[in-house]
Amino acid sequence: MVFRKKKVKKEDPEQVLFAWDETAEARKADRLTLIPYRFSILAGGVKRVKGILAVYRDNVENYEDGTLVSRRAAKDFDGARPAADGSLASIVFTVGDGRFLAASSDLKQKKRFGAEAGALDRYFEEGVYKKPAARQAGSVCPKCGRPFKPGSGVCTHCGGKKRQILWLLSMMKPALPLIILSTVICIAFSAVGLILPSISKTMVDGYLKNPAATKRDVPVYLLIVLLFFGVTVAQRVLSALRSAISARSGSKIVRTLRASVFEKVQALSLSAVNRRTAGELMKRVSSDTQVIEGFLSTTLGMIAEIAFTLVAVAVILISNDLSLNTHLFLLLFVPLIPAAILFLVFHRKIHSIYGTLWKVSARASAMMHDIFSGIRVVKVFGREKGEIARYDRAIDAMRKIEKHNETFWAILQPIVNFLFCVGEYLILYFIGREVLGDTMTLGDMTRYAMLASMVFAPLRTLAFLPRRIARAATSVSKIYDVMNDPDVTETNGGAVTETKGRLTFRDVTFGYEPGKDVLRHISFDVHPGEMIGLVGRSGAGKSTLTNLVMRLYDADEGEILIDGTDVRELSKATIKNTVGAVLQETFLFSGTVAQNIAYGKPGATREEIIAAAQLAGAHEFIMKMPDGYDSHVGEKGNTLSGGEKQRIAIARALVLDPKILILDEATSALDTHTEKVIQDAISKLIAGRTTIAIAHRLSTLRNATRIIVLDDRRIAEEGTHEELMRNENGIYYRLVMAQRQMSQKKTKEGTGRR
Amino acid sequence: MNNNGFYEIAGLTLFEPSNSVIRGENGFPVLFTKSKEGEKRVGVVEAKRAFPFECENEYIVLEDGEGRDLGVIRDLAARSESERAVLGACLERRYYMPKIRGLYKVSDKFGFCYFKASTDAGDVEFSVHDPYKSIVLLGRRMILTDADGNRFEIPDVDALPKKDRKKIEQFLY
Repeated sequence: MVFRKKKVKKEDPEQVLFAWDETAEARKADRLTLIPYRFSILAGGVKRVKGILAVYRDNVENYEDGTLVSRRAAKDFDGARPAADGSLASIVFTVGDGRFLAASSDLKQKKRFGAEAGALDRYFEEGVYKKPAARQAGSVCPKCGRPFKPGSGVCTHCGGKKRQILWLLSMMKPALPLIILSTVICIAFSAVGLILPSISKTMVDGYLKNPAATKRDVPVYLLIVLLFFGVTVAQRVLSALRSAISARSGSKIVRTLRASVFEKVQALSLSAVNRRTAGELMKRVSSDTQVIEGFLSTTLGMIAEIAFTLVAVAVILISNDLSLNTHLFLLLFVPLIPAAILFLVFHRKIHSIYGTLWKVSARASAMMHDIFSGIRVVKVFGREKGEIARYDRAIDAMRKIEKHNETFWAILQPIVNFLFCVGEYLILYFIGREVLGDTMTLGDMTRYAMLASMVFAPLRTLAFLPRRIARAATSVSKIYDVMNDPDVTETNGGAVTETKGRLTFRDVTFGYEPGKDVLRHISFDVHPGEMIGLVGRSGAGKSTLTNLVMRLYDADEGEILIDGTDVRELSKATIKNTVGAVLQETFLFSGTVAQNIAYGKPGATREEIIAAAQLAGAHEFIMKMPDGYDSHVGEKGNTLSGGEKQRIAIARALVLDPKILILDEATSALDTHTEKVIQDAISKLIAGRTTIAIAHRLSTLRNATRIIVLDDRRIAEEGTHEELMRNENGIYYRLVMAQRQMSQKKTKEGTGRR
Repeated sequence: MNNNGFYEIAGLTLFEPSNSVIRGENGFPVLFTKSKEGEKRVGVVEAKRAFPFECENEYIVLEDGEGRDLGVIRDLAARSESERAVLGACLERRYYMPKIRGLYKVSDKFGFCYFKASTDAGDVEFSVHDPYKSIVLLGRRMILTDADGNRFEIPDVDALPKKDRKKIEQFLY
């Protein structure tokens, strides 16, 4: 955990070992691996050391601070496992049920230790050492030493800001013509306004304060007044146009942003989505996009307007009387400098306020989502008041921060405004002095005063800018965090034109965490049309195995082939059309029954929908509903029983007419009668399809062509029901007998009661 | 409710000095059960705190190598010195968490928060990804989990020097 930023020359552990053990160099060829570690393996508790674990073909040696502290024969161990569920990452060697701590370090080494333990486990078990894949290493940016975000191989720090800006610009692309137009209008608004000071000068110097001016000049004077009026009208028109265009460009930007974030969330892998709460993702898609839209469509135009006004005023002033006007122009910057310093000083504070506000508001919306999703549980346990109090606390924290925020701005903004006022008074004093000294006309004074107010008015608005930028920057970084998440399910996009449904597992090894394999060396073939029953205790890897077929995760080693093609080389669409799944949890979306059945095949015909429902045994109850297939289900829809939902879910999988069907505990949550109805439906639908079925009730797998028993990460038994039942010491036999005894007991109890 | 009956139904095993003994083997705790017939070796066990934040030395759950629950030691204080030593070492490794005494610098960029701190294990630098999730406030106690999963603790945020407390103000809500 201690990684110092200052570059310390890294010691080569091999050279350290050579220095500590003079025989190590000669034995190098015999060495399997070398693992440096940080905490003593002997101390019992936590004691920092410089340790090296050297694993040779025959020996396992531990050195700590230059001393050999342990040497044991490799044949003494029968396995190795990582242990990283606490505060330290360790490698533990096993000897029967005994253990030996082989290396221990901080959790920075978790991945490496996991991979090394996995490789050593296989060595102790199979005698073959395979160096862990390089992907296990490198969770830190080689350039700056900072860690990558989970699942990422890209450093957000090195070039992160540049990438964020580029991404933001790319989001503006669809609305770019409108943004340019809006910016041009902002500039035109400012340019038109710049005419006013010159008209004022002519009005005062040419007529009002001109002793030569007479009543005959009234028509010309009227023209000047009309010009004033015209400029004002033009400014109002331009302002209205700007608002209309900003609104249009804003809605375009927010649409693009929301669509891209939503699309990205859909593309993310299951594990990447699981890292964030639903409320958090909703906030990123809805409100953060709105904040960015506001910034891009309004604030950018404002910045352009202010920049143009400043440049134009400078040009006007400098082009008239260089020495006098340069002074005047520089005076404009007098209040700007302390204001800028103020904002720089409070920069961190401003960002921190918005960051905290984001956090508490995300927490409040996640909490609300959570409570509403579980409203049934809340009601059942009578926890309404408790939940009200919990939500109240969340919004109260939000109120506190908002209050703190408003107080902060209520103090800062008047200070900035006051600074601008001081600037205006300075200019007033300076030009008034020139008028009194007869070096400037009253018309010039009016003109300069107007120019100054033209600069300060938008600058006052600029005082809000750090606040807007801070809020937008927070939202940009939150959205970019999702957009930049590299943890997506990639595909090479190849398609199998016509699948037969042959499924092959070739030496597949997989673990959700490095070194903790859930499946190891799994190999089997499923012929088209075969039904395979997967059996094993809970956590044996049955669902994991089917997840790999659906490509919700990728195998760490080995391959899964559909008709001879690796699933990683198939497009998502091909997998979706080839593999259909009915899971234990049936989630129906808000919509009609027909829409839910056609969920995986939006173009499904009505005939296909009805046929799928009939096959799933759902047609009859659907037709009993008043609106038939147009009945609304899901949220706000009709209430369906568990069995009815399950049958719609089966129809949803069947409408694709998949060649491979996965039934993962599809009927386990149902009562015996409904299960029988669904089992009958299933027996009809599996005909001609390759089926992998996981079922808690083994009786439902009796018709399987083959049954595969998973145990301790491997295939423990394989065969037909009859074949497996012949082995009275087998896992399957014991499981079946246990279930039979249980059902006999239930039957007896039932009879007794009667 | 009769708790003993409830525990029995729930299958909760309480390990008391009268029915069990813990011994160390290669630094790992090994559970032996005691009965009239004598001692019986159960095997190497993992010790975990059921309430790691609330009770450090009470409700110590023992699991076997496969993570299967074996039972609970209600209070470590009731065990012998050698048992406390072997279980204590095991718990120390599992819940190792340096205590932060002061903060030199806290800065955040691109969703990471960088900390330079002084701890009881020396000066450390670490970075926290997604600070709003990885920094948890439990009353006035703050737990910080760095990008690798290492944890640090500020036992009482109010006890930090005022200037250090300001640096983490944004995480105090």
